[in-house]
Amino acid sequence: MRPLSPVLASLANVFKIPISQTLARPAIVPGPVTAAAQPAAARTFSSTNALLKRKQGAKTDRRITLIRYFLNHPLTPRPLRFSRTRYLRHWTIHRAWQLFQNQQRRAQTLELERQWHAMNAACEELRTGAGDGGRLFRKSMNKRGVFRDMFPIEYGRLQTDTPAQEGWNHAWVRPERR
Amino acid sequence: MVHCERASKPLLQCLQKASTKGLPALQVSSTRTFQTSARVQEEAQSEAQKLPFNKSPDPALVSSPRLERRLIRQGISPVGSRRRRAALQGSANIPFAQLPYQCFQEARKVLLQDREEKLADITRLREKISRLEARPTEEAGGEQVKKSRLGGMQKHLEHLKVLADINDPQVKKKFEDGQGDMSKPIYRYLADQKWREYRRKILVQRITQMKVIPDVLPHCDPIVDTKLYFNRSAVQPGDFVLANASTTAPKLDIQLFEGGEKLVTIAVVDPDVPNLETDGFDFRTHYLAVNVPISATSTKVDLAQLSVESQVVLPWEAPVTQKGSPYHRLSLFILEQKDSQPLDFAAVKAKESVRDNQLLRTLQGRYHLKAIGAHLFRSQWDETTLEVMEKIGFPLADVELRRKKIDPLPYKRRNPSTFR
Amino acid sequence: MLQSRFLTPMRLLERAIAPSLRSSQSLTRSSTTTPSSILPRPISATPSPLSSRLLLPLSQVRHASHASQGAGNRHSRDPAGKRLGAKRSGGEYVVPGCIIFRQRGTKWFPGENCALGRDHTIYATEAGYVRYYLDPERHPDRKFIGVCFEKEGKLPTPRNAPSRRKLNRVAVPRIDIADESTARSDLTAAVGADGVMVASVTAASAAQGPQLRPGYMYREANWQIGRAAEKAGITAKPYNRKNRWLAWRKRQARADRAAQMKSLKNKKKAKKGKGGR
Repeated sequence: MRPLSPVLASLANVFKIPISQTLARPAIVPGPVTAAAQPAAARTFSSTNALLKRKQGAKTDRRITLIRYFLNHPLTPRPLRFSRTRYLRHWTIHRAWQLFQNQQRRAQTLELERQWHAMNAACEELRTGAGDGGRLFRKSMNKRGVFRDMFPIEYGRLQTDTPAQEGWNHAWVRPERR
Repeated sequence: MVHCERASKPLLQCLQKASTKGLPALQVSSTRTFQTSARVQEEAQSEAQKLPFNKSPDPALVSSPRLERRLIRQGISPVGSRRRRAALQGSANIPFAQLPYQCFQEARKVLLQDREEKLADITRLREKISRLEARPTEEAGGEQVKKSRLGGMQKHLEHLKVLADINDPQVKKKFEDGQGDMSKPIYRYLADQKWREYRRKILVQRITQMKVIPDVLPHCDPIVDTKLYFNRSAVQPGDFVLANASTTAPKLDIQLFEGGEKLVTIAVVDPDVPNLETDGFDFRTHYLAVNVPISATSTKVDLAQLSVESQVVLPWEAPVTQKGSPYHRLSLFILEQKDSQPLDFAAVKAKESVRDNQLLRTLQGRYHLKAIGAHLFRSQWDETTLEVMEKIGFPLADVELRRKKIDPLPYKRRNPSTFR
Repeated sequence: MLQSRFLTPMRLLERAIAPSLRSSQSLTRSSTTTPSSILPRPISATPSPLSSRLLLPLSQVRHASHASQGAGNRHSRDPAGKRLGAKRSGGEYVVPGCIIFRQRGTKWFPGENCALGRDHTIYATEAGYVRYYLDPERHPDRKFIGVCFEKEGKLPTPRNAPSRRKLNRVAVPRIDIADESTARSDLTAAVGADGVMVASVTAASAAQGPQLRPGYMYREANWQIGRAAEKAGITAKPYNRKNRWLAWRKRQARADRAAQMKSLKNKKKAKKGKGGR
């Protein structure tokens, strides 16, 4: 066999590649030898030819070699290793954070539902309890002209969850065109 | 290491004292201590007051090679690595729950509060259930409605019980160490999750790919974890087992993931007995036992040890495979008896006395059984089969099966006029 | 480039042949025409017509225009049929190994008692009657080919029904393969009280000093040669990993050897390259 350069040889040593395998193509992994495939016990001298008999070292899959290469590469960050206690602390904090977020989401959903139901009840009251046969309710539900004649003033600025720091600037006037 | 330990010892002792003073809850909550070493340390300290450390070194804390050697000579091996023991000597030994990390403590507060809420939910639900049970059936809206409501509430209650404990790091640690108490719902839940993650998938794959499922039973949804041991060696689902290993009845480890006790029927059926007359395969029951109690805490079932008077209908028969016949699939099924009611053993024994061609489907229908667990191993002709055949008196021991030659189709010219 | 390189020896050959031809020509011509033809003519300008005709097939080159000819014909666009398709129709009797369908890719899938070949050919694994069917429980849009044992049988069988199989075996008295092999093999080795017997010849004892070895050499056994140092009482120095000086020398020696091997290899390559060109 052609001797490898020292650099290659040392690399092969690092990645645990049997040197004879680096040049050869990855061969089929020999399957488990079944009882039927084994020669009979009484046969002491084998008639297999030398090529078949030649010992085949443990084959390393090329994918495994590559994985090993990249995992052991100096630029790859080392795996995060925690002690048992520290891992459990980490896990506790993680679970608590998940739980907290879940609770928050749930509270938000419930609040939205409450608001929707309140509005629904108010509309129902307007429809039935106002005494005008639901006229006011119908008028208020009328969507004619919305977004047509005038643009809603709420959309004059970007919608945010909370009001602005300085509130509405009532002193604002349109700059005059010249 | 020894040097640095010696140098830091006075400082560490100071710290230890300060920490014990600063945390009066330490002694109170010693039941909740997370590290086993903490208690050991306390004991060691009290011992140290009696005897100096170098006279009676503690195996959990000793770190100097000389003292270690002395301990080993006494026959006590030190616990863990030397690095760990040295670190334990210097640690403040605060129990896990009281570790002084702000984020961790805040997290614990959140989790504890959630647990309180869940416990309150549980008590409320329990009251609700008892109130519903106390109400007469007519008032609750009929038999069916009441039953389904109660069932739903029970299910929710079990869920809440799991939710109350699932965020506890101590529970997690105990489960990972294999010290979980299977009588508690949370550990059963965790074990079930772990089983379903891998082992159940393998089992289901094996029994469906090897066609046990349509051949022996039409359907099976395993809900109990079954392990099979022949002579103390575990058998994976679908493994080939040597004939002499399977002469004695196997031991089972049946892990139930629900509370309460169940009565099950255990059957081992071989659907691959060659039948030359019909040119097909027959069934043979190798084992049948009824009224076997299993629960989440008592999991071991030794098929050879079950009582002959009240449980074993058909005792174990060693599986052997004739030479040349296709491999035999020995399928083991665990069938739940209806409402966990015991079957009448004498009647069953009188009725199910034949082993040959006893279909498990028939049994299932006759006794209202439901398959809750399965296992599978295979047997084929091997070197030990002949001995076993002689031992059990197998009638066809000197017969070998050979592949039947099928006559080829006669050569037929399709359309001779187009052929030249 | 290649063409010119190939042509150079041809030209040489031509040059070698040309004078003789010319002389013969001159002989014939001399009798009829002027003696001016005796003067040497420039060879490169007008090579003799006979010699060029002789060498033509050797130096012929096929250009792209030639290769592209015929590509537009019918036979190249439309290759011969591969005789795919159904070889056995539904309901026909088949025996194991009987090819039922030839296809490219899996247009049809093997169903019950059928298998898929290396080139997706579907063949029977049991004797029976061919069925072409759909099995929506197994796959929503695959077409299956199966073999059914009865002439009037139906496929697919329901998913939860026990599978129907045939034994296809006959019972014969059991024969132990182990006995057979001992009876048949010529080379048997038996270890008895008086040494190893190979067939009927006693194996020679290895420790009895030099004997006739493979390769017709009269010498000791290899393992005995390997133990020579042990006999002579020579012991190697125990390995000391702290001896960096020794390690350095070894490493240096290895590096030197590697460099030497490398240089040798390069030389060999270089020589080969020269020889090739």
